[in-house]
Amino acid sequence: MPAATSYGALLDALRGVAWPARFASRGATAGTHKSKLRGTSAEFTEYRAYRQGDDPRRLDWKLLARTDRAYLRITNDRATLPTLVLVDASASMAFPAAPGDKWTRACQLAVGLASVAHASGDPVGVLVTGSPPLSLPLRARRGVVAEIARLLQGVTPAGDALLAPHVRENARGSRLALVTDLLGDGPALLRAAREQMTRGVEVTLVHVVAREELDPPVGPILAVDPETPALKRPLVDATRDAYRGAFDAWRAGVAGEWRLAGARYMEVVTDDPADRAVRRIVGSAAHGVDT
Amino acid sequence: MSLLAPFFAIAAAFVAAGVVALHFLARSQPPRTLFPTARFVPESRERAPSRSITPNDRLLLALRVLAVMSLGLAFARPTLTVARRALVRVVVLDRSRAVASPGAAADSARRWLRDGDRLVVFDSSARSVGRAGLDSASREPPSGARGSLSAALVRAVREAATVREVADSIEMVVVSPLVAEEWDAAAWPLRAMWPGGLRVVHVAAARDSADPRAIALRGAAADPLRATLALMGVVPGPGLGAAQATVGERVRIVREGELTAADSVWALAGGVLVHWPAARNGVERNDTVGAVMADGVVLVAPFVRRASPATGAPVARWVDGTPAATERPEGAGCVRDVAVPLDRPGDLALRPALRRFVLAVTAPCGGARNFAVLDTVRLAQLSGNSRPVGAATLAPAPAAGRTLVPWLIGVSLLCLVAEQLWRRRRSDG
Repeated sequence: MPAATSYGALLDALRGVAWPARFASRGATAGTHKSKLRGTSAEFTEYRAYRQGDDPRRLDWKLLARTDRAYLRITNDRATLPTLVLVDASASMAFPAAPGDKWTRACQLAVGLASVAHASGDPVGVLVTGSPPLSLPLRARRGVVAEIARLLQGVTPAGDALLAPHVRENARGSRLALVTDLLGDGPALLRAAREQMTRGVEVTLVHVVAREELDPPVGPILAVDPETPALKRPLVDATRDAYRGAFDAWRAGVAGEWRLAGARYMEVVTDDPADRAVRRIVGSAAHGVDT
Repeated sequence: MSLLAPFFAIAAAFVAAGVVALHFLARSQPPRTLFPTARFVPESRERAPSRSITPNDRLLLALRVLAVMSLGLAFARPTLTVARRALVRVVVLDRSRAVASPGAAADSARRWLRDGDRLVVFDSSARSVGRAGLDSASREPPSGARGSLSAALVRAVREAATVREVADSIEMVVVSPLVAEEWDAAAWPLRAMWPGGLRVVHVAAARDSADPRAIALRGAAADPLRATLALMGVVPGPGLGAAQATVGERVRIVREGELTAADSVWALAGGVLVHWPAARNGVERNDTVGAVMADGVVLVAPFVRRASPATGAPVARWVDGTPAATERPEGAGCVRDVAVPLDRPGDLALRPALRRFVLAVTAPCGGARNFAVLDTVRLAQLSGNSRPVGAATLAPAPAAGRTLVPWLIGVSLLCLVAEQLWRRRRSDG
């Protein structure tokens, strides 16, 4: 469990990083993201010929007086983008062993994403699945990132809590970042995310994968699923390649499904530096590229 | 110990060796590790075979080997070889009243007894005793009971059956005067149950020196029984007191008054005390019966039955089977209680049947004595060919291993159950 102060280096490394929205925001509060609203900003973009039905108040009267032609003055508004980070705290996240486990990396990613969003003036909140689930409402005030860090510090991954119900019920933000290993309710989570995306919510999936899952330790082990103890299978030399093949195929399939659904998918391995992982997540958003 | 079917034991040894070898090649389960992506591991057996220098799970190995070996030994039918003797004797010693000298009889028996032989003593009943019983038999006075060869033969045959597993042949020796009163109807059929001969060792028989006329009567002068006794040649004094005893008196009949302490002392010394009250106090019952029987004598008369005799062995019975006279032992003698009413003068007292009846109820304790030695025909029947009996003719060959088989099977089942429990516990752990 990372201490609150251990995020200092991460937050320093992420200073100045922005997390631009992929789509125009519907928010009314002034912020840094493009807004769907028009006309109230002083930032000029272009002129457009007046068409019947346009608001006459948006006419450029000076241009009309000089040229006797009716043009509208087009300006873009900037708005905030409320961002909710949803973190998976099921038992499978406590792998392999702290501090190199998936849960530690997930906490760092959540805090990093929250800090980046908060730096842009966006309200940020967090929801941690578990029993009971813990949450911090969307807030833009100073210190909210530290509150998120403290909240995450008190959580121990356990159980097999599902994410999909929380996605359906708690999608209050316009941007939803899911930090999970997708070993729980993957298909249901994808359906719930689709529903939110049709409502205009921007969904980013951060798939946390342990290095030990990609490259299992040498030597035979009896692999036991921590969320389903009855699932026991021997991982020996004879089955290692088959395991890798199946796991790779599953990850590729999951990535394709999420991207096809319109979500932003990013796989983060536990030995990736957290600041670079956050930069990749928000950078891909800026460039519209998922790597 | 020998094995009747050693092939099974050899097969069990091979199977046990295989079990041991499998424990060297036993499959081992890899260490359990929490692995969230276990679902992507192909399904296969949880255990993988591996070889090791030392056998794994030694307790399980021991249980399995023990179960296999026990089962194999059980099928192999182990038998215990017992040290057998060429000849074992069953000595039957007579201690009845017919023996003149118990010490001499015991000495005769001692000459035939060796270590491992069996001794049976009998009078009216028979029992097995050890050599110590022989010493006590020589010291104690002879039993006052009539001997029963039937009881002795039954016990001796049973005793012979117990030694058939440790002897090649069995000889039965009977140390007895073999008098006529010891022979009854069951003696010959019981003798026929013994396939061999009996070695008969005669000892001196006692003599019945009792004078049948040595009878004293205590009763009224007009007692009808006086007439009967007079016809029998007995002339009892009319005024015999309670504390008096006539010289040579063998039987005392009390017709008047109650029994006294002096009567009991006299009976303890060996006398036959007959309590035959002419009139009993109180009436317990009041019915009639037509006859009374004692020792083969039937006395027919219209008796009015008013009372029942005291508790004891019946010596006379009414025609309906209920006791009319009983006897109970009293030291060396006995006390008889006769409930046959004989209180009125009449011709009944003069009838010969009554005289025979009186002889029966005044017979010596234990019944009439007949110490005449058995005739030669019966003696020949009893002794037979005098050869010992082969133990094999008494029963099939002994198989002591039979008793081990269920135990071995039980041990095997117990080991199998324990093995299952241990495996389950280990898999749960």
